[in-house]
Amino acid sequence: MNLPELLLLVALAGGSAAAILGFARPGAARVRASFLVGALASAVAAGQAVLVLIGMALPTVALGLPGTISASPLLALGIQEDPLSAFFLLVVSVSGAAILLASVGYTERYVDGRRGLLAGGMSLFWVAMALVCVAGTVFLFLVAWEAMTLISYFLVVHDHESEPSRRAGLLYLVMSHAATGAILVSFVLLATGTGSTSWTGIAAGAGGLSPGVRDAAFLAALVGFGTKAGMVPFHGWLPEAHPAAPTNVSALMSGVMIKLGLFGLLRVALDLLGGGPSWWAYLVLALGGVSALGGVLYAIAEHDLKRLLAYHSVENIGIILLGVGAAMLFQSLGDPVLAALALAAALLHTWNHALFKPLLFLGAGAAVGETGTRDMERMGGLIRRMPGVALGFFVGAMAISALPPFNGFVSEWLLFQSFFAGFTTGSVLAEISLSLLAGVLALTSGLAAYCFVKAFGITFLARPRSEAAARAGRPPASLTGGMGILAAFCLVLGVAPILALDLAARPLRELTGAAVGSGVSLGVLSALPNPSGGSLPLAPAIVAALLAGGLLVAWIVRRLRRAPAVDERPLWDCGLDAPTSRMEYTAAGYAQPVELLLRDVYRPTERAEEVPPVRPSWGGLARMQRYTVVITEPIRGWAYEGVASGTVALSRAISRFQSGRIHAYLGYIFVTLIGLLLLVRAVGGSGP
Amino acid sequence: MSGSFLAPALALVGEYLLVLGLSPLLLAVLRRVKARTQGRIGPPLLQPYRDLWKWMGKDGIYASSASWITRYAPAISFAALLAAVPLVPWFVLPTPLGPFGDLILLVGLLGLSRFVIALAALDGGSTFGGMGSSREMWMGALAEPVFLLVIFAFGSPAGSTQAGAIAARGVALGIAYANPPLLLAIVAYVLLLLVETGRLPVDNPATHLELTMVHEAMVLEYTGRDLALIEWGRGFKLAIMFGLLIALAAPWGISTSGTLLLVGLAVGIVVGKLLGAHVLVGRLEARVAKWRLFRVADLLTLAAVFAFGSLALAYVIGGGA
Repeated sequence: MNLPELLLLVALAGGSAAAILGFARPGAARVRASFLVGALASAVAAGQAVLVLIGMALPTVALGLPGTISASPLLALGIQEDPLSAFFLLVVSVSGAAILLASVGYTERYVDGRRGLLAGGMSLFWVAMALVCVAGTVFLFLVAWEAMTLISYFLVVHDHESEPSRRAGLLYLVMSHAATGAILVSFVLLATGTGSTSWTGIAAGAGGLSPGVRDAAFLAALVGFGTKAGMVPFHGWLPEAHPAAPTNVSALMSGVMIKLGLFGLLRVALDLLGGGPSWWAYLVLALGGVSALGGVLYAIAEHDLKRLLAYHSVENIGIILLGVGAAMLFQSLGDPVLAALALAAALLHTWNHALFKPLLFLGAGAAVGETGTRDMERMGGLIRRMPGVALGFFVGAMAISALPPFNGFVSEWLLFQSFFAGFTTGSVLAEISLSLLAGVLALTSGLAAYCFVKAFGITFLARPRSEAAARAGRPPASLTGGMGILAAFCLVLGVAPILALDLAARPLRELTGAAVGSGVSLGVLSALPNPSGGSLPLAPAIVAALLAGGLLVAWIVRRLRRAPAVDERPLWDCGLDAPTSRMEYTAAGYAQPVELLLRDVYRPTERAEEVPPVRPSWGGLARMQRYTVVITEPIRGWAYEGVASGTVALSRAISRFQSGRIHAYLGYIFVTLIGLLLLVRAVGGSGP
Repeated sequence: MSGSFLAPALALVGEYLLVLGLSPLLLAVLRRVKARTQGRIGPPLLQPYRDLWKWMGKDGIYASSASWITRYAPAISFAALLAAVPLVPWFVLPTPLGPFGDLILLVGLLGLSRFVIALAALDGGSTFGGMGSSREMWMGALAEPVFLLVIFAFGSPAGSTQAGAIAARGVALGIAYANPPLLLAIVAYVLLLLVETGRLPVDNPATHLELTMVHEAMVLEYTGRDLALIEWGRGFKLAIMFGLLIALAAPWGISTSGTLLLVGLAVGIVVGKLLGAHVLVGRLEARVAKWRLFRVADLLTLAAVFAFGSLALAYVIGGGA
């Protein structure tokens, strides 16, 4: 047993131990220990993933069941950690550790028993996600996947007294299982076609599959994994489940779990099937573009802080899918180097999003927890009540808005570079679609900045907009600590993305077949047609230096003349009454220019109603109207309702067969059996 | 090694000094031309320098509802704009930064500057600040895709998103650099420039009416040294956007050799071009009225169409911008 094997075992065992600690007869100390052990196990796994990624050692079959059982192909429960697995294990574990650490204090609001369930559930959730990453066979993968789904369902409905939580949980459960069904279809196609159930076996035999089977397997995987990832139009569960769950669970789900949908997609499309025809790529690009733009547009219209963040997850999944789609496109055009560049952007953005989204969710959790509302219009001024949390949210907001010197900028920058490099591929369709999508991506990141000025400004700045916000307490230190870890990662990967790119080099090499040298990122990027290529990954460090220089000049400018006095006074009131928080700009007002410009997209439901007049303090009698605008996604109306009512109708139709008489059921079984035998006879020539 | 390192370092310092020193003058020229065109005398050319000096010594005052965001935003915005200066080729090629940094980075830095000022505008809790902040971020969001498409249009024939590489190609090709796709890209860029720098008809930097303000509304609460940083930074932004226009549209005159004489000549040429561009915009500003906010979207859509048209035309006629 070598070191990585040992570490993986320790991490998985540690996570399970943390879960048992949490579930066992609770007590405050035990809950704390559970979270800490979970965080530690997660950190060990992160270290292990780094070891594997730098190529120290690669355990092939670490935990197979010994002896005769593993000889049976059905039960070959095998763990296998290839570079792709290791990269996602790293993504899952770094954020997992920070979130579990932050949860120690965050969950203090829950009574001990419930808190124990939350602690144990979260650690177990992490173990399931880690297992999804390192599963080497179809079976283990599906078991881990299902465990992950079920545990996260129970975490979503943690506040099960509230009706919305239960409804959101149900939607999540149903959609997740539909998705698992699609994934199962994909895997069955692959496994039967290649006669193997392990990744390595499927990958080896996938070349011999017929194009129809390959297409079907890809499409089923896209639907199944896309649902988990929150890809439009299969994202419906996401804006419901994330706000319903406790916020640290949202952080784990939105920041980490949905990445595993991407992992599955990459596994099937690029690793097992080894890429496909260009229409696969265009499909992924189109879905990515729609997800990115759609996600950010509905985020802007949202004033519920957690739902806003949930829609941003849809947006960022879209951005990552743009990278994946571009990689698939370049692959199909026979340019593995460009494919590696686009995929580098996708992988980097995957990690980046796994860092800044939990950061934002934890910040939102502090704001929501201390004010008791998710409505941004009732927050405000929190930067004074919780300076550390505000600073963390500020960093996260800049990172997600793709602003230098933070990590979100670097990955979007690489993505732009890969789109730009697409001009050399010589395919007209590729050039047109990539330049259009570059525009879409730029619009998305511009709108994200708009949305996060709104989110940070309305939530944390100016005067408190409600009594609750004015009295908000100080969040626990462990929450701020967890946010600090994530924020530090955001800055480090923004200044020195070469660290992350180096770690991504092996998965890149394996998925694209590009000759990514051991100078890794430099190896990929210097092969670009762009004369600046070789220095791309170093440029962020230079920019950080330039920014620091600029700050120095600003400091000097401020001291060119003798220090003047600095005073603090109430806000300028235009000579009228002292301004109150009612006069501040609201989230609704902030978002209005975009809503007005894109009226045809949003199709808001507006209502103006007369409300009883009140006599204002200055005398006079005012007629008062209340004006409400509701913006909902159109897709919820027709697509989701349609599927739901269709399913109900189908169930009714089928229930007619359900007579309740035993002999009828025996008849059904007999008919089915005969039918199956005939089918086997007709299809399988090589029966026993 | 030290010799090859020294020249770029000197050029870098030169570029910073040029932009720091010249940007107030350029602003003054613009105001002066505008005033003259409208039949006024206009402020003296040294007025912006006097203003900056005055603000630097003036007492500061903050709203008591404001946080550290208000206090640090001007410096961050100033630093971001200053960091963007060497991304533009001013008078020497290759640019002192060499291959480090490109125009997408420039967009990112402009975005950073906009982001922190827009937050500071919300910080105090003034309604005007919120209004300006919302409008500015709205315009910024719409301008970003146009900027990217313009970069793609200028960059695709050079195979680089770096302004230095694009300008180098222009200098090398001479007059053959100018072709129809380039023209379309320039039109798109000029429309974008008006939005990015907040000039008429998009925003009126000289307005005193709060309800129509965009940028002014955001910085309404600032005075003293913070205001000096903001106004000076605004000067850089104008210089950067114009400097980029010159480098992309008419790069001829940028020195590609290290001779001191030629570099000096190139400095003179770029200053002349910058002054000329400001005179043109000054005359334009004197003639147009401010548009409704929502017409800015039309302007930017038009710019996007031009940029995309440039890419398409380059593809059709071959060769490219």
